[in-house]
Amino acid sequence: MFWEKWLLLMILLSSLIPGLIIFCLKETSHTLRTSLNIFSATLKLILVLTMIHGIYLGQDYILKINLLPDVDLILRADPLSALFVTLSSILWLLTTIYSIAYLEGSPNRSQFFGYFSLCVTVTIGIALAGNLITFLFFFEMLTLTTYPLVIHRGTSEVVAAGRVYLLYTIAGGFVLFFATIWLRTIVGTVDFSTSGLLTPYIAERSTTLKIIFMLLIIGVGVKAALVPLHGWLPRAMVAPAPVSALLHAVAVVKAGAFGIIRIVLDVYDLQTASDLGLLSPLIFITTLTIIYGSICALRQDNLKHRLAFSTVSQVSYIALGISIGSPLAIMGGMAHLVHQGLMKITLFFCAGNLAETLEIHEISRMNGVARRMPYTMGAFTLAALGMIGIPPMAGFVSKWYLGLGALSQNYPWLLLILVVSTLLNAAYFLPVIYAAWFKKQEEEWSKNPERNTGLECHWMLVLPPLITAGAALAVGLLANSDLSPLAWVRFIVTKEYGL
Amino acid sequence: MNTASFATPLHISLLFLTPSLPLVLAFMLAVPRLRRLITILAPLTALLAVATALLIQPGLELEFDWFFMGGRMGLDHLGSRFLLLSALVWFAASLYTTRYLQGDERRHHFWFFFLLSMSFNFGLILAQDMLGFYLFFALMSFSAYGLIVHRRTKEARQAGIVYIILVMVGEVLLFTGMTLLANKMANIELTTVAVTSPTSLSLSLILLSFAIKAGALPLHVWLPLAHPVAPVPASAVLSGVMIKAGLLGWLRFLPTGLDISMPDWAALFIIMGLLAAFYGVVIGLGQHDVKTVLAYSSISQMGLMTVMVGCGMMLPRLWPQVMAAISIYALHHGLAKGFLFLGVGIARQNMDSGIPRMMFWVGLVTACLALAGAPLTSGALAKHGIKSFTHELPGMWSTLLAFLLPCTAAATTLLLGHFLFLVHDLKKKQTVTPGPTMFLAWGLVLICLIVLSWIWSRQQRIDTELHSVIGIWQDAWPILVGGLLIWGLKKRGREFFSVPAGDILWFISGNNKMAALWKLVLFLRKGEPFLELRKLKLPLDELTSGSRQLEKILKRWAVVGLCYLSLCLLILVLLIK
Repeated sequence: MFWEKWLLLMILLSSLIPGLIIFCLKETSHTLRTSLNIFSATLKLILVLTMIHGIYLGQDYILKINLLPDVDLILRADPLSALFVTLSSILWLLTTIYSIAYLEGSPNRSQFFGYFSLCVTVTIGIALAGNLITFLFFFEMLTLTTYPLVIHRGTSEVVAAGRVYLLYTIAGGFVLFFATIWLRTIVGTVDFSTSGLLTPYIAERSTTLKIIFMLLIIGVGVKAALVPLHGWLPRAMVAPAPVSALLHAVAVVKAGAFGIIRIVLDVYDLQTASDLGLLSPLIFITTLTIIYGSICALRQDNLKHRLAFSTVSQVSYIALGISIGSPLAIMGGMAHLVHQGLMKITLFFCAGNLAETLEIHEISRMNGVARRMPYTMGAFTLAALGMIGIPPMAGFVSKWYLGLGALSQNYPWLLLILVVSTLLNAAYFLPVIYAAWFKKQEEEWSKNPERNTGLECHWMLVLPPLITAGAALAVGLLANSDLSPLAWVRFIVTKEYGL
Repeated sequence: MNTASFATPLHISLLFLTPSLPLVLAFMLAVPRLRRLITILAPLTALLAVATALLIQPGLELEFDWFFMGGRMGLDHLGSRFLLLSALVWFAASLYTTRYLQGDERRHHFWFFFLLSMSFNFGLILAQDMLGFYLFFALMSFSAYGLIVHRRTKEARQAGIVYIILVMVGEVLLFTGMTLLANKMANIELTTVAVTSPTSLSLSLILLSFAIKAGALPLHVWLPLAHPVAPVPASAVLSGVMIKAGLLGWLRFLPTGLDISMPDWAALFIIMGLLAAFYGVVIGLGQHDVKTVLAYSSISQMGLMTVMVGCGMMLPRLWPQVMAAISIYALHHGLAKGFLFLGVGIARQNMDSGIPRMMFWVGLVTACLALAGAPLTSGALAKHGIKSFTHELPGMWSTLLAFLLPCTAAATTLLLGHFLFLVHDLKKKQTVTPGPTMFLAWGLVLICLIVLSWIWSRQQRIDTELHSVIGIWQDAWPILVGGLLIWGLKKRGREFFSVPAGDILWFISGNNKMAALWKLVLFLRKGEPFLELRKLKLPLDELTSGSRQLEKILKRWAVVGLCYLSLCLLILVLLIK
C-alpha cells in the first residue's frame, strides 16, 4: 500500500532530488554529474513504467497534500497523465544523453543540468496534476524553471529574447491565475473529472463560464503558441539545441496543449463545452494557427526558426482534435501529443548536430550535408516525412484520425485544412531534404573527427535522434498493436471518457 | 495472424520475404563492405518475387493485425499477374544495372532507391487492403524520386520538381478520398477491397490520384520529363512497371467484384483513353530523344488500358474477362517497354562485331512489332483480349472502338518506326561495352515475353482464330499502313512538328498566359520548336512576403497587446451572440 501511495511522489522526486544535488556539484565533477543524470532518468522511467502497468490493471494512484485550508495539491495518475508522463520521461532520458555530449566543455554545466532536472520535474507535475490549482502551480513553475535554460548562453541578444519569453508566459500565467480564481468562486474546488462538474451552472451562469473558458484558453494558449500568442516561440530559439528540443517536444509547448486538453475535457467536459458553443471558436483559432504557422515557416532560412514555426502549426493539431470533439478526432489529437513529440525532438536533435559539428544554422548552407552526416540527415528525413504525414510515419496516423473525426462530426472543410497543411509542410520540408541529399556540396567541412568510432560526430549526439526517429516510424508502422500510443489513446477515450 | 488452410510455411515466408528482402538490402547498403555483395544479391530478390508469383496459388491471404492499421497481404489472380510482370522487369533491370552503372560513383545511391522502389512496388501488389495499398503506393512514389534525379543534371532536377509536386498532389487527393471513403464505410480498417457504393466525390478523388501515376491525359506531364532523364534501367521499371501501379489502383478501388454499371465514368475513361492513345503518338512523333519517344508511347499505351477499364465499367458483368485482358495487356506492354528501354542503353554502346549488332536489331524490331500488335506476337494476343469484349458494348461505342482500335495500332507503328529511326542515328558513347550481363538481362525479357505469350495462347485456345489468314490480315494491315507511312515520311526527310517534352506543362507554366498563346501563334506560323524549358518556380515568394510583413508588425508590443484584446473581444462576441 505504501508503495502505491508514494509512487507518484517518487516519480517527482526522482528528478527533483538529483536536480538539487547537481546544483551543489562542482563544475569539474563531470563523471559524478553524468552518472547521476543518467541514473535518475533511468530510475524515473522504471517508476513510470511500473505506474503504467498499475493503471492498466485498474489501480488508482492519488496523492493529496493539504497546502492551505481548503486548498489541496492533488497528484493523480489517470491514463491521460500516464501518456504525457511516459512521453516526458522517455524523451528526458534521451535529451539528457544528448545534452551531455552537446554541452561538453561549455561553462555552467551544473547550473544547466540542475534546471534541466527541475524542468522535467515540473512537467511531470503538470501531467500528474489532479485539480486546477495544482495544474496552475506547476504551470507557473514551468515558466520559472525554463527561463534559465533559455538564457543559458547569456549573451545580450539571448537575454533580450529571454525577456520576451518571460513577458509572454508570465502574462499568460496571470490570465490563467485570474480565471482559475474566478472559476473557484463559482464552483469551489475544481478537480479534474469527466463527471460534468459545471453542468449545474450552465443555465444561469453561461456568460461567465464562457468568459472564464476564454481566459483559461488564452492562459494556456500562450505556451501552446496559438496565433496570435506565438510571438515568443521563434525568439526562444536562441536556447541551446537540447533545450529547444525539450521545449518543443515535451515541456512548454506541449504543456500548453496538454492544458487545453485538460480544460476542454476535464474542467468543462465535452458536452458542456459544446452546449456553451465554445468549441467552434476553438476550431477557428486552431485552424488559423495551423495554416499561419506553416506559411511563416516557408520563408525561414534559419533551420531552427523553420522548425519553430512548424511547431506552432503542428501543436495546434492536438487542440484541433480536442475541439472537433468526436472520439476519433480526440484520439488523433491525443496521439499527436506523442507523435509530434517524437518527430519534433528528432528534428531539433538533428538541427543541433548540424550546428554543433559543422556550425550550420541556415538551410541555404545545408547543400550536400547528408554526405557528411548521413545518420543525422537520415533521422531528419524520416521525421520530416512524418511531419508531412506520409504513411506509415506517426504523423500520418494522427492526420488520418483527425480527418475521420472531422468527417464524423460533419466538418468536411477541415479535410481541406489538413490537405493545405500537408502541402505546406511538404513545401517547407522537402526542399531541406532535397538540399541535404541531392545538392552538390559547396563548403569544405572538416573530416570526421571521431576517428576511433568512424561516426559523423559524438555517438551520444547521433544515437538519440536515431532512436526517436525509429520510434516515430515504429509508432506509425505498428499503430494497430497493443503497445502503440494509439492503442493507449483508444483506451483513454473509451475507458475514461466513455466515448 | 490467421492463414488460409493451404498455406505452407514456404508460401508464407515467400509472401513475407518478397517485399521485405529488397528493403533490408537497401538499408544494408549503409555498410560499405557489404555493397558489392548486395549488388549481386539484388537480382536474386527479384527472382524470389518471380518464384512467389509462380509458386503461390492465387487466394492466399495473411492477416497482420499489428501492422500499420491492420494489414492484409496476399495474392489474388490480378495480383499474381501483376507480380509476375513486375518481378520479371525488376529482375532484368537489376541484372542490367550491375553492369550498366559500373563506372558510376553514385551507383550505391541508385541501388538504394532502386531497391526501395522495388520493395514497395511488390508490397503494393501484395497489399489486400486499401490502407496497405495506399501506404506502399505513397512510399514507392517517393522512392522513385531518387531514381529520377540520379543524374543530377538540370533536366533531371526540373523533372524531379514536376514529379514531386504531382506526387504530393496525388498523395493529398488519395488521402482525402480515402478518408471520405472510410467515413462512409464506417470501418476505418478498410479490410474489403471492393467498394460497395462509394460516394462520387471520394471515388473521383481516388481515381484522379491514380490517374496521375498512370499518366492519363492531362496529368501525364511528369511522365515524358521523368522517364527519360533517369538511367536506362530506372526508365525501364518506371515506364514498364511502376506506371502500372496507377492502373492497379483503379482496378483495386473500383467495384470490380460487383455488378455495378458506371456509364458516366465509363464514357470518360474510354474517351480520355482514346485521346491519350493518339495524343501520345502525335506529340511523340515530334520528339528527338529516343527515351522521350518511348515515354510518349507509354502514355499512348496506357491510354488503351484506360479504354479497357472504361469498358469494364460499362459492362460490369464482364469484369472478370476485362480484368484478365487488362492484366495480359499490362504484362505484355510492361515487358516489351522494359525491353525497348534496356535496348536504348545497349544501342548507345559500341558493338564491334556484326553478330551482336544483328541480334540487337532483330530483338528491337521484334519488340516494336509486338508492341504495335503484329500477328503472331504477344501484342496480337493482348489486342485480341480487347476485341473479345468491345463488340458487347452498347451501340455507338462498339462501332467507335471497332474503327479506332486498328487506327491505334497504325499510330503505334508510326511512333515506334520513328523510334527505330532515331535509334539508328543514335550517337555512340564509348563508356562501357555492353557486357554479357547486359545482353543476358536484355534478351531474357524478350524470351519471357515469347514464352508467356505462347502459354497464354495455349491457355486461351485462341490459336485457330488468331492464326487463321483472316486473323493475321486483321492484325497485319494497320502495321503495314503505319510502317509504310513512317518509311515514306522518313525517306522524304519530313520533320514532324515538335513540342518540348512535357507538352502542355510549358503552356501552363509560362509567365503569363498571353505569352504562351502568342508563342503558340508564332509556332504555328514558323513551325519550329519555340518553347525553352523555363525554370519552374513556385510562387512562394509572393505568398510569403505578405506574411513576412505581418509577422514584423505582430512582433511589436503594442500590436501584441492589441491582438490580445481584440481576440478576447472577438471570442466574446462569438460566444455571446
